[in-house]
Order: sequence, then structure tokens, then C-alpha cells
Amino acid sequence: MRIVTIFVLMFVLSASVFSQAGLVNFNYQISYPTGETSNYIDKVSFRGVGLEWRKGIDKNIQAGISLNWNVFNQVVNETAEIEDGHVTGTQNRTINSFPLLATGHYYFGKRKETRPYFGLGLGAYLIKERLGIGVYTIEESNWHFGVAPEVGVQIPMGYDAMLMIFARYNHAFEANGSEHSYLGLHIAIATEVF
Amino acid sequence: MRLKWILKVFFILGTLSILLISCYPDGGLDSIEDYDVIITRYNKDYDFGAVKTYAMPDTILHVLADTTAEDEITREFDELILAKIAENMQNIGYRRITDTSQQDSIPDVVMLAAVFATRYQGWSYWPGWGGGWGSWPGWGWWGPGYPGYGPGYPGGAVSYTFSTGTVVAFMFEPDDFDPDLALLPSEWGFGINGLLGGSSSTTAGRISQSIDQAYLQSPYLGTR
Repeated sequence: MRIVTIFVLMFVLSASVFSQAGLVNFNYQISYPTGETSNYIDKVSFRGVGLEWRKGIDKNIQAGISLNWNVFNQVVNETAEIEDGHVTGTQNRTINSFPLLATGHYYFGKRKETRPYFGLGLGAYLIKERLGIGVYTIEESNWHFGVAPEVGVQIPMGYDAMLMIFARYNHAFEANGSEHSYLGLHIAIATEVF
Repeated sequence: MRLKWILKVFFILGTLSILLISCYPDGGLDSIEDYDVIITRYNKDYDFGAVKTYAMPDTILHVLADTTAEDEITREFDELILAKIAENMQNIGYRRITDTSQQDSIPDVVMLAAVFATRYQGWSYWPGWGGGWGSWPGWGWWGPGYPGYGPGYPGGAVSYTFSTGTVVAFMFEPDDFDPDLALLPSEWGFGINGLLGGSSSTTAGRISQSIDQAYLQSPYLGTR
């Protein structure tokens, strides 16, 4: 809960203090599981979306918020060890990840030009894991603190619209014995707003 | 005007993405075999290598909800189940004793097979991903008619259900019977969920495969 409070405060401060032009982007995400996440699901996720608002602090720096949803899913048939035994069956493994990030970005170049940038997101990850095996289902849901370094490029398309392509590494730190990470490739349509 | 256009585009994209993304995809599970689950439990302190002989009744017990309940489970596959258990016991080096009336022919263990002719619901403790799988629905005891079940209701408990038609078999040492509790601890057992719950042309094949799998995933058994 403390994480969410910090996140909300960062958002309110970033929105109210600065008055440069901002942008909104809607992005589609392809995600590659890494680390412990890939031990559970190693299949690439093509189910991911995000909505972001970035507000200019000065000509090169933007602060904002990023709301995302990634779904990882994989079916495996294998024998797993349980306490004092084993279980075999078709396992339907799913992870729903909801990163809620406060972001900061540094842009190179000038407005209305193609601009590479890098940035960092900090915030809360709500991660819901589910294992279905046969008719049984086991679910667990945890809030994690996480970081998300990012690099990308913003390409003007005319009519105040922009194409954005960026890569973001999501790392949700350990919570209740569970840790997750994945690399996301994002393709976004953005537009300048107030 | 521009804001209206932007809102429209984002609304369409948002709606499409929510329609395309499902929280819990079914992963393409569509055949009845996809829902078969084979669970084995065993006593880690038991020396299965010391077992040489076993006995097994020729009958499969059908566990009913109560004494007035009607048994709706077919006995069409009883022979096959017993034959597959016998075949696997032989493959792991255990010799079957069929005449236990002689003093020198007392088996080391007894195998009992049963089918749940009722739905059974319970709870099991699951400590979270970090701690591994934790405990699965515990069966380790054979009472007068029903198996007893393992850990109760602490935090992180998950529900489970044995579907009607679940096939189970347990291995016991006859001498271990506890007359006070009227319970007999099982050293090993398997359960195949819901196998006889419906009729299917593939049922016989699934029985054979599942029982073979139960022995395959229990490499500590036998004198191999």
C-alpha cells in the first residue's frame, strides 16, 4: 500500500508542478520472460497493452505515469514434485502482470524531430499467478515494488501524431517468495496533449 | 475537434485490446485427456526395496457418499484396473501372493484399489510459489470405508475436489493397522482424477496410460 501511495504522490507532483507540453501514448507490447518468470513460463507473450501520459518538465525531460497489462500463458505436460509425491497432468500456467509506474524520461534532439530517449519507471506491480492442472486451480496474487529502465525512439508522423518504439525491462522485486522480470518491446501511437 | 479524434482512436484501440486479451487463456485445452491428473504420494521413510510380495483383492471398492447412495460407476473397467496394477507390480519386481491362508505366505504389503462413486471436497495447505508446491490433497490413511485427509485449514489453504470416478489405489503393511484410530497408514498410493466419471471411447486407453504413469513417476518403488 505504501508503494501505491508513493506512486500517486509522484504522479500528482509531476502533473501539477510542470507546465510543458505532454503526450499520451497507447502501446502494444510483446514480452520476453526472463529470470524466475522464464522458469515458470518461457513462452513469449503477445498479449500486452499500455497507456501512458508523459508531461514535459523542460525541453528534454518528461515525467509521467504508465499503466500496463501483460498476460503470459503456457501449457505444459510434465511431472511436478509435490510434498511426498508427484503429480502429472496438463498444466495451464498463466501470469497476469499489471505494472503501475511513475516514469521519467530524457529526450535527445528537438521537438517535431525524431528523438531517441532513455528513461526509468518506478512503481508497483500487481502480479497474479495461476496454475491450472486438470480440474484443479491454484492462484496467488502479490504486490511487488519494481523498476523499469527503458530506451526508445519517438518519430513524428504529422498531425501531432507520433510513432514510438521502445524497449523496457520490467523487474518486480521479491514479494512473498515470488520475483518476476521480463523484457517488453513496445510499439505506440502517441499524440501531443496539453 | 482534434481531441475528439484522439479520444475516438484511443477508445477503439483500448476496446480492441481488451477484447483480444483474456486474463486466463485456456491454452488450447480441449480434449478430455487434457484434464487427467495422476497424483502419487509415498512415505519417504519406507523401504520399498525390502518389499518382495504383495496381495491384492480381486474386487475394487466403490466408495459411496453413504450407505443409501446408489452406485452409478460402471464396473466395466474393474478388471482392467486390477490387471494394470498387477502388471506394474510385476514389472517392478513384486510377486503377487494369491493364497494368503498359509502361515508362510503372508504378503509384505497389500494393495487395495477403489473408485470414488461420489464427489469429495476438501482443503489443503499451499504455502506459495516460493515454497514450492506444498502439499497436495493428502491421502495417506485408509479408514473404514474412506481415506482420511491431510493438513487442514491454515492460511493459504486451497480447495480441491475429487471428481466422481476418481480411481485410487493404496499400498499398506497389514501389520500397521491402528485399532484405536481404526486407520491403516498407506506407504504409497496413486489417484487418477475423474477417470471413470463419464463414458468415453478412450477410457480404457487412459486407464492403462495413467496407471503406467503412476508407477513411472514413482521410481523409488520396487526392487529394480
